[in-house]
Amino acid sequence: MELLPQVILDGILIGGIYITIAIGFSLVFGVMHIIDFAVGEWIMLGAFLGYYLNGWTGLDPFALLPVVFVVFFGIGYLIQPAIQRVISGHRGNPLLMGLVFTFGIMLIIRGLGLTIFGFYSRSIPSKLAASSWLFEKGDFFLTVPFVRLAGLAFAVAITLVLHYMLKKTDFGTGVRALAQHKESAGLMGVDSHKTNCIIYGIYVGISAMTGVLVCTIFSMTPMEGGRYTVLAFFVVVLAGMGYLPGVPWAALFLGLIQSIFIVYLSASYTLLAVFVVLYIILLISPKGLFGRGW
Amino acid sequence: MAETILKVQDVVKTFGGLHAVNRVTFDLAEGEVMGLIGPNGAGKTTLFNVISGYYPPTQGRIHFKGQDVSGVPPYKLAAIGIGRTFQVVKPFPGLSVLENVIIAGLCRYGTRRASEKHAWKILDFTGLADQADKSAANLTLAGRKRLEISKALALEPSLLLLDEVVAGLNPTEADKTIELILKIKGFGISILIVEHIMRVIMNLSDRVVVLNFGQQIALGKPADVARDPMVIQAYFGEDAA
Amino acid sequence: MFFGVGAYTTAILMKLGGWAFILTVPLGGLFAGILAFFVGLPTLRLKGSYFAIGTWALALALQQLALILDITGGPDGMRLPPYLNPSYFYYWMLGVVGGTFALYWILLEWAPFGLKVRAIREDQDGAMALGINPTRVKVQSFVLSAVPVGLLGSIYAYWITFIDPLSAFGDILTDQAVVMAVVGGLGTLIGPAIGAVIVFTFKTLFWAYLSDYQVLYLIILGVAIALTVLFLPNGLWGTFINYRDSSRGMRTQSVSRPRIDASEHSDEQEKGAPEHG
Repeated sequence: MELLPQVILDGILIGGIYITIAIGFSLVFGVMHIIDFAVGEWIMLGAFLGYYLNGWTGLDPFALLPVVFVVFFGIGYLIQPAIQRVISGHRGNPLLMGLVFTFGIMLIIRGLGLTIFGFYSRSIPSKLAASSWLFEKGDFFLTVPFVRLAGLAFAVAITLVLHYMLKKTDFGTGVRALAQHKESAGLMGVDSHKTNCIIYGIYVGISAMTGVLVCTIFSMTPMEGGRYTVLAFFVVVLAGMGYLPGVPWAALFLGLIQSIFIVYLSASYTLLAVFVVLYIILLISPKGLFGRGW
Repeated sequence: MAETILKVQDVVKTFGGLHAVNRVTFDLAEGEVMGLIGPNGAGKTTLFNVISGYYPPTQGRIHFKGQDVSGVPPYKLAAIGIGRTFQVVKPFPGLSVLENVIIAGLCRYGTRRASEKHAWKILDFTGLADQADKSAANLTLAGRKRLEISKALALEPSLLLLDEVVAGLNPTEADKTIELILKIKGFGISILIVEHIMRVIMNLSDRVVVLNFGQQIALGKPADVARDPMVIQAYFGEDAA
Repeated sequence: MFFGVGAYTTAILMKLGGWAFILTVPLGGLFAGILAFFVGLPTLRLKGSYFAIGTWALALALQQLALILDITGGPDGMRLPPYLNPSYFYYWMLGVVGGTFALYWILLEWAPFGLKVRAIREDQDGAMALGINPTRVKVQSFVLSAVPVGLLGSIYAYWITFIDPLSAFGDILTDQAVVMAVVGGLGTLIGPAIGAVIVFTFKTLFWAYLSDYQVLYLIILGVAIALTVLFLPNGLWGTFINYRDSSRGMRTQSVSRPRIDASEHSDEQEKGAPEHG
């Protein structure tokens, strides 16, 4: 039996999830130069909100995504001014300050998560989870789990929406101006404070929705946030810090590497393998796969 | 004619499609002072950053003492004898004036003690010795510009790039700085100087390069350049031409 | 992370190699230093702080490695023959900590190295113009910071006689270290020491009275970091130093020339920003 097509397909499906993990993270870095250490924690919180909402309402997790987005958009919107305060003003090394501050937020969220949700692993049931497509033609054999396909579709949708928002709307033009040059964007009438809050809200919202997906496809414990922070970081570095168009490709690339390792070597070495690959790429091209990073 | 120390050949630097510097070519002889002028945004500082290694050139080559140094990082250039100042002065504000200069000397004189001795000489020369213990953040603008020159000098460079070291100073301070630059020239150090103030450029420079929108529009003796119709047009617009 | 490297170095060499403890300690430091070099080389070349996340990610990867390898004993960890002489370890610890402090003091306060470090911290572009290679100095600093931690890990392994992936590479260790550095004051020598005393005192009190609420500890660490960064960005020691300097500055100012006003200074910093891009 030929394994490779399945490996590639799995890689693409995993990569789809990585897109959603990393795209908001990259956006936030590109616009306001924040490396958010808590990205995995937003994912974790989103997963648990999805889990409880699903328990109360019985709605399918995919139907809950908009609700989760709205809730976490609000949280992100409200928390951004605190982060802005930390990274602006006349402090040395704002990037480090932002990093340390979000590290603190990460600890708080993780602690709260453990207190409220306990240590157990949770998973959201979905009607899609049971079914999958099966291709069979002689030796050729492919399984496409619906729920993962839905995850990929979601990732593509998010990417397209963000692309549309940044390239085609007035708001997006303002965001791009802000990312290029803070002062002159302000002169052009861009409200940097509000724009930053909205972007941060969008990022937290996307991350939380990703959490729902992850919790539906795999599972989630309050301890696991850090894993997703690492993944988000890997994708973003691979894509080039703050270079948004690189994110989908870097995510798919990472997904493929991971799926190849799982099948041909050992699942337990994946994180290590990904690290080594990343290390080599950074040595050769410090600005990511496309040489377009910050 | 003295030997060529710096050779800038067809240098192009683009930022996302914008030609900040476009095909600039000139030579600088040993001991020569070259003025680099042009209206705001003409690409003078960008060219400085390319020559001193902060940006690699998109195209073209830069030779220093016959050696190809295009894209060589700034700290290596500093070690082989290119000193520079920054238009937006970059003192280490948390350190004293003396410490600032000691750091610059470390790359010539390995130890802290030797470098300190050297730093005092430099400070005496640039007239900052009486403020040596002051924190660099507490200097006046003139003092900080002078500190920039001191730091660049402490490298014992054979080529000095000065980016607007006179701009913003009052006439007395400006005259003192011009005097200082002339003394540096007297040591046989080649100088490439960016300045807005015409009087400074005309007094100091042996030759002048004029940039406009990244293009090199004139090169020659100050008096000739000042009469060049293209230069006049660039500075004073269509009407004057 | 380097703590775990040192700990596992000692454990593996003593248990599987039959080495004497004394010989394994320098190796623990050495391996930590080598690892720091190789991690620092690609990540420290880049602007920004993502070398911090890179290190942190490697810690997770190493933890995973320790979980799956045979020679590390996997999730069960490793047990070492007990050596019941606490004062022996106190002297070792004291020696390493004292030696480290003395070495850092000399390097940072007396040797050219300290000036270079400060120059880069104040203005990296400016430092480069003076012949300082920032990547090299940063990698050197990183290695210097890793070695003592590796040494301490080595000692810890034999002292506690039991290590597993969680205790050696665990988050809580890193979390506490971040709190110590941030609360005390980043980039100072005294600051983290003050931070360590505070964290340790607090930890002792916490375990004495609130040991049932372990998770609360995590939350408090997080709150401590967030509040410090928000309100005392220079940490306790840094704030103290600034306060002392500014009151001293007042006195000198009255005799010297008037200081350039702050708005001009900030203006220039902003103008300088695009240059960094």
